[in-house]
Amino acid sequence: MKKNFNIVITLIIASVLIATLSLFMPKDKEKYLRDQFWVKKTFAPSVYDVVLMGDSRIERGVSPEIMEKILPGMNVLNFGYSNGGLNPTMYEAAEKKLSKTGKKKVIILGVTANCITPYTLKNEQFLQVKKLPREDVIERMYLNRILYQFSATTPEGLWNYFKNEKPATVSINEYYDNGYVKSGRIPIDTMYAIPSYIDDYTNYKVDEQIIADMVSQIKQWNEKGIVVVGFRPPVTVPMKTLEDTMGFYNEAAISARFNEAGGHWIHLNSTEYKTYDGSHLDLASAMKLSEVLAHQVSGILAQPEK
Amino acid sequence: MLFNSLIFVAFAILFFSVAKLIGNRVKVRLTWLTAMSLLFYGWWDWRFLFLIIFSGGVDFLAAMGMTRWEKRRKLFLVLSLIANLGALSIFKYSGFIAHNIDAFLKLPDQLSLYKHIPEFFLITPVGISFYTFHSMSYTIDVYKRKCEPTKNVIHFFAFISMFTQLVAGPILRAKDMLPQLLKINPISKEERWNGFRYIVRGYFKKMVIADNLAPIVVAAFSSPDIKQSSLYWWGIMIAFALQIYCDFAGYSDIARGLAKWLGYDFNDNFNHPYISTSLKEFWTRWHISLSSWFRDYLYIPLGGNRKGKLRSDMNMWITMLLSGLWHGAAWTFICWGAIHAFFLNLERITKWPERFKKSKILVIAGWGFVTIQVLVAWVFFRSENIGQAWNIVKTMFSFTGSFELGWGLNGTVFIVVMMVREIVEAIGVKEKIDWTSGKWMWIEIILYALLITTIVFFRGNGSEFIYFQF
Repeated sequence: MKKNFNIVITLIIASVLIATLSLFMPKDKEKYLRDQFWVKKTFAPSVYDVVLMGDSRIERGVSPEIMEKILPGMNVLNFGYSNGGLNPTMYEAAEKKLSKTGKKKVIILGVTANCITPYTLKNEQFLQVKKLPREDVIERMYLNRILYQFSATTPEGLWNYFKNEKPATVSINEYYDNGYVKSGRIPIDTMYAIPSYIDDYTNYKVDEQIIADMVSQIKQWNEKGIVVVGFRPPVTVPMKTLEDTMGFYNEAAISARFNEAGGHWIHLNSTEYKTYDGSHLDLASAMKLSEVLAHQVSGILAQPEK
Repeated sequence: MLFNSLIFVAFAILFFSVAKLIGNRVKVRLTWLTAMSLLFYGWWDWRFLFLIIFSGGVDFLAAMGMTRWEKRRKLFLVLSLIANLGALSIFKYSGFIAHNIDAFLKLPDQLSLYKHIPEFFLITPVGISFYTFHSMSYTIDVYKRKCEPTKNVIHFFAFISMFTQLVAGPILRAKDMLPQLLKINPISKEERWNGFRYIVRGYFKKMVIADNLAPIVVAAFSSPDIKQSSLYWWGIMIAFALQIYCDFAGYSDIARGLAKWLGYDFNDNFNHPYISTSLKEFWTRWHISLSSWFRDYLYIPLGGNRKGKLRSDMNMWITMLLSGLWHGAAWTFICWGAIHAFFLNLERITKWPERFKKSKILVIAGWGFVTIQVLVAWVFFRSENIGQAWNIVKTMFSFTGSFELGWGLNGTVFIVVMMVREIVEAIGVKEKIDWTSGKWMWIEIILYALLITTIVFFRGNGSEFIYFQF
């Protein structure tokens, strides 16, 4: 055989092997969709009228789709990140997502205790995606829906796949282009998240400087004509107590300063919402919160300007 | 642009397709090569294109100046060295130097030198050490009359910026590459196949071995507490040794394979370094283009071993310490260089490798000793700081703690695969086979098809090549 056909033959054999094996190999579709989701969120265009900011309680707790039904003609982006912080880096990024031509601009802050501790100042997840090489961004944005067919695995992953062991708990994650993750957990365990938050609040507390920065940002946004809405995402009573006592979260004080700075604080009754892990809202509650927020925003926008 | 990305595949298809259309027109081909190489580099951060253009521009003009004004040859060489080393110092070492001055003088925040460096200068441009060294080799070779300067600026920039080795080597010599660039060598079928084999092997090393070992090493080094187990750290260091080898050698293989497809030939950059039975031998097998660069442009000009034993040892220490510093602006890299210098010095004084050659058992013992030296030195290379490195080394030699290697099933599989491969290479099994004969040719084809399949299904989490940061 002539050497110049070697490459072609090798590639043909490899293609056949890959195509055949792709039918049997484990596929981690969720990972690929998740990666695509974060890239789409981080590199979302500047076309939104309403941008939601905060941590995973926002990311998993507010559906822009529901809000858009109540706020006709407005585009809503969920710009929440796991362990996302409320700090200048994130304020700047969120503001850039607002439409340049939109007449009404709204930024909604989900002010959890976690968001205003020094821990979330790292903006780890946001920066991780933001700093991805351009080629990774393109791959994740446009090719991940194909690439998952050829999901990478490891010897351990392969072993577990063929052992076919069912995990004790199942996490449900459905990713949307508007930045929302429809999520759940089976079985529901409303105390599940408590231990990790005890660890967090042992090391980090709500920080005065971060609140001061937020207040200053609200004033700046107001001057630019951006309406700022804030609220404390609902959680279970034990979680709320933990945040108040260990994390030093004082909703009354924060909401007062928020309103003084020109923002609009929405008080929510936590007991009306249910979570699947003590921290994140279940599907019905997430829908309800989305509706409540949209109605409140609608009401605020209908008010004459201050 | 990373070799291990789909964008690069598209880039390469476009590049080679147009190169094929260009055919034998040398000038057009060099222009195409330069333009695409600058695109390749600018893809990472276009702002730093100016640095390559500046560095290359100065060297091009300096070499022209040397031929035009014969009596001022030295002046042009000095100008070139100042420009190159100056750019390297600003972009790679200014932060490190400022940090150390701050710490030494205990300067308060307001007076901190580090905090006054503009942020732009604290970004280390990808591959700066590589292309600076490429460029410097040109002016030095022209000065030493080992290389004819080119009068064609595109020809020169094609050499400096050639995308195949621009950001992570191998470091090319102008005297080897400039003449090659002027020829359009017809690429034989054998060379095309060889290039393909290099590329596939390179991707396998990088994407399967290095990228799968990376999480094991990262987890060990990023843990806030040093795990108190001697065996665990020996295991982690073996994993790191193979990770960095496969990462870097993988890049070199891909670079070499791509160059073959262009009709150019690079020398081997790695030659199974971990089978070395002396540290001196290790340095003839590891990052050969860098070690020979330092030998030819630093060690020998310093006097090499021509000026007595003491001076020779001193020259070797200077070379190794600077080699450490070349890798990164941190004390850990300098320590890495110092450890190598120390053990090289020990070899020179005791001449143990020659004595050990007398028996096979001693050769194996010598190999073990060298491997330990290399692994200990890697601890400093990989650690975040000297304190962490020292604690790990102490743990390694405490011979206590749990009986685990820290590899898990994944690490074990990839490490064993790589070790077996190195042993097979060391024994020279491959050389004993006539791969052109019918049966073996098919076996080789199937082997490479399997390698490609493995790359697709067992690729690790894509990450940058470690040597990009140097």
